[in-house]
Amino acid sequence: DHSLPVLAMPSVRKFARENGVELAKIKGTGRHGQVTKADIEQALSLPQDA
Amino acid sequence: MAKTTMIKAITQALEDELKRDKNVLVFGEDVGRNGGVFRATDGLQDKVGEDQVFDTPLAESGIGGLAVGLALTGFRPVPEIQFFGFVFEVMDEIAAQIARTRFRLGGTRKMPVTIRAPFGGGVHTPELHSDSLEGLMAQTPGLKVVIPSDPYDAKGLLTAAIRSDDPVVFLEHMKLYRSFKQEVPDEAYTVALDKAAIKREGKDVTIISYGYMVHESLLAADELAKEGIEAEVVDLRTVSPLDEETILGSVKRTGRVVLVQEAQRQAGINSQVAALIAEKVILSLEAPIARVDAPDTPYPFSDAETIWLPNKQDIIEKVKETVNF
Repeated sequence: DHSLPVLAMPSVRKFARENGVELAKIKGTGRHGQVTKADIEQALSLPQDA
Repeated sequence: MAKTTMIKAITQALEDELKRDKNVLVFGEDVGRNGGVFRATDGLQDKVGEDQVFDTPLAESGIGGLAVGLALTGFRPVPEIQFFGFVFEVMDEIAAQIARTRFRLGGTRKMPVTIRAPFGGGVHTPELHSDSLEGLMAQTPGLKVVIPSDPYDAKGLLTAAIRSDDPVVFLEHMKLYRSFKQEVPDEAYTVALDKAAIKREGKDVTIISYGYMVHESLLAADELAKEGIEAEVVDLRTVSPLDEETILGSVKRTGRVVLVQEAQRQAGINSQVAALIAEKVILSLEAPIARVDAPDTPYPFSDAETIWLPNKQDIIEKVKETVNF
């Protein structure tokens, strides 16, 4: 399951993977569009649409 | 074009350069009449004369100093250290003289020296013949350190090394000397001294290697492909300076990397490559940078080589760990 070329620190990638979040679908708010841990948490807090 | 071994490709490169430039000198212990302990200089003295290809006394430090002196007087020396384990005798000449002369003399002199030496395990040599000491050389500013893994690269890289105005340490893996043949052009050509090569393309994980370990990596990649893991195999070819563009480009594409070397973990070049990747492309990494290398002990007695040296299986296991992280 590859989410490249999304920019994210390894810790964030692991956090996303463990929570079943697909990185490519997240809009990164960090520098240069980097996905942050907060972005993943934000996505998880939203109601699931399916 | 003809199929040839790495050792023959090396001899061809030496012959071409000796004939092309009368300032090229090949010398060392038993490289003349004898033709070298591995036949690398076989027949060269007969072809170009003993003014260009000659034996020296058995003293590595003296050979290094001879190279310095000859280079300062306009020659292009290609000395041989019989086995790279004997580099300790000539460390001062290489690291404190040859590598520093251009810097020390403000660019008024150059050191177009190519030091050839065999190394590498798997052929049951006696002590201090097979040690991988490229890490020592790679830590020495002013030197280029080149390690070919096949006949084509060996000829092109050696030709480029001899023509280079900067000193090059050219390390030849003994197990690769005659283990296979490859198509090599008859005419002279060069391979750039600062470019890695992608020896197999893949999208799932990058395996970065050099020397004999390139072949173990390719064998591992074949087996991994059967299980659906497509490994990209990068052959560094030059371990100093590193080809950052090729290394980082591949890691960015795959997001996973396994570094493979024959040297002990604390030696070699893996840690340098790992630091580079961590520094420049950490935002692309899906898993920790993994390393395959030898245990941190002196090089083993020959009976223990097979259980000590890194091999295909070690690489396969490490790649799976990285892919499944």
